[in-house]
Amino acid sequence: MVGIRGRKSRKSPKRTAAGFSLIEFLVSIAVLLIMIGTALRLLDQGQATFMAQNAEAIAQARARKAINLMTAEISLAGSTPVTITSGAHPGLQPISDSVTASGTSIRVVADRDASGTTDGTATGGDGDINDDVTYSFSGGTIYRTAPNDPAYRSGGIVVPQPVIDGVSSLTISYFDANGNQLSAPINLSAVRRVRLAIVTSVNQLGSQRGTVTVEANVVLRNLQLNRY
Amino acid sequence: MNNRIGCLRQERGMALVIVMFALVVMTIMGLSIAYTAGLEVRSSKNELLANQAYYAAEAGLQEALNVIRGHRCPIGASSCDPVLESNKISLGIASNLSTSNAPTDTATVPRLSRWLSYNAPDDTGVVTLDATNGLYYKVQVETIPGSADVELTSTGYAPLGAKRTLRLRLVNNSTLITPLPAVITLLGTNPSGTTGSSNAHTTSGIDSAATPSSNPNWAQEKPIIGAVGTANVNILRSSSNFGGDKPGTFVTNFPDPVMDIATTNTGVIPFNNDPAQARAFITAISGIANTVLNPGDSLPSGALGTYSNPTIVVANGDLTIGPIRGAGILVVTGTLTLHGNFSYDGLIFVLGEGHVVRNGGGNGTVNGGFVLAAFGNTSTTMDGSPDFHTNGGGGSNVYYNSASIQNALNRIPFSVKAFRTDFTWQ
Repeated sequence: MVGIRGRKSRKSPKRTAAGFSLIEFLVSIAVLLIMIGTALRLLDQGQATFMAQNAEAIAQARARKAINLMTAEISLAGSTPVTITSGAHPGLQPISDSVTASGTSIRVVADRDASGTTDGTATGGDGDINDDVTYSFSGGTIYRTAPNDPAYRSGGIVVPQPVIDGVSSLTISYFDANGNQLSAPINLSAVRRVRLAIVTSVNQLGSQRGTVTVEANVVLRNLQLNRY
Repeated sequence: MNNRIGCLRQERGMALVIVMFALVVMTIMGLSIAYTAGLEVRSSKNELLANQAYYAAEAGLQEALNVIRGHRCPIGASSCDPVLESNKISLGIASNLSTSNAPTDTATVPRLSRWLSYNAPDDTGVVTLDATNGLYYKVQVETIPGSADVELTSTGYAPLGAKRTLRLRLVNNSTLITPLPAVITLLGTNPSGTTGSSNAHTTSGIDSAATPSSNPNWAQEKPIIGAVGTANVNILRSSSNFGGDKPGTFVTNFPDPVMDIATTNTGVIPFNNDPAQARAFITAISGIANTVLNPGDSLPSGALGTYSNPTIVVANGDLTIGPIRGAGILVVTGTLTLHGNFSYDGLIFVLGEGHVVRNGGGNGTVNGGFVLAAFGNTSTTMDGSPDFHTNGGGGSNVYYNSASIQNALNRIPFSVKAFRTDFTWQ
């Protein structure tokens, strides 16, 4: 201010422009505020749209990642290129003593490396580490468990690893050779097709939510080899 | 006035700053939207290409299966007649480097290049599926050492290096049947048999094929009657059995029509003389048979096949066949009764009771061979008595013929054992 006044007084020493400059200043501030406010509102809307899109993109990418991985692995269920000498027999296997397969969990066994075993921890090719895989869902996260893989073990205990989070729901349905949906308890030997539905939901900036549903039908080719 | 202008002039820089600020913010936003969208597009594109590669591999797999099933003509073939030796295909032919690939192909793996058009005559060659979209595949048919299995591998290629590999493990069912040690093989204790009292018929162990099988174990003269062990051979050589038949009806260069197949080394003793293996054979061949008959069923018309379309028929229990002609492989677990004028090209297995009764004369000819094995449901040794009985005989000939047998073997379907994929994304 001092500098301005100084300069002003130097240019027109007779008039003090203080009053005008205050009004002008206020008006210009007001105009500026309106302009900035409008601009910010536009920006905010743009930002919201962008974030919503971003959230949807992230949700989509996550769902896609999970569905690709699950489809690829589940489709191999039952692959038995050679006689199995050790480990669970290829196919769909029970999750536990009481649960065969459920709407949120599935266990798939396949002798992917044609080794004759499905429980080795490191033998040739990709070994058996991915021969016995369980997918499960809890607390908004889809988990993958591969008990043969040392990376899934901690202190001798098998620890599920998250595949994706931000999952609202995972629904696994089971169908028999005639296309009829099987109900619980699932008769694993009758399953020929599995349908996966994943709903992912991602929040950005608190309120911008992207929700995506991805579905896939997985035909268990190894369980209907007569179709070739 | 001057002052006012001067005053505004003082604030002129502010508009620039604001505009610049807005521009920068908007540019950043725009760029990040474009970047995110670009990422999204690229990820979708990659996924699309990976899927295209997967289905290109699938196309290769199905085309290879088509070739192996004999549904494709060799490239440049003048005729597609499946009976022509040059058009024949089996899993064995498909997995053999010299018979799977074209003569000009220098590829080091069997890849069916006699049927599939590769764009390079070496291992780099691929088959074009869709040139516009850059989709290619290549296949490979490899035998698995120490087993009867064959692995069919198909790799699909899409632009930007996308690649997927699918594998099918196939079972070569023709290895179920091992080269015959004799034209008529009798497994069991106290065997009996006769080719009949007529002298109008011929039983020959000399390969009557115009074009013998390319497998030397099939294309060689066989003893006429084969049995295991001196005691069984002596029984069959006696005058109440084959030894009493008209000598002129046997055509053989072996010292006697009846030979001990444990020592003549003209083939493999069927099922290794083990009933368990014979039972496993019945189960396996039933799984790939064109027709499986239960006790009491009659043979459907046309089920016995023709030379150009041989079939596999399994009859659980007794089977009676009239004066018809057939080709392929016939398995009977009870008594097989053949009436005059029955003709067949291929192999006839009578396992379990091990009884064959040929009634009446007629002029039928069997080109191929018989295997009779007598054993009980739970036997661990061949403990039954096989009987190859001919009433009369007439002109009922049996000629060993490696081409007829090979023709039947070539049409034994493979079965699919396992489907796998290679995980390139891991």
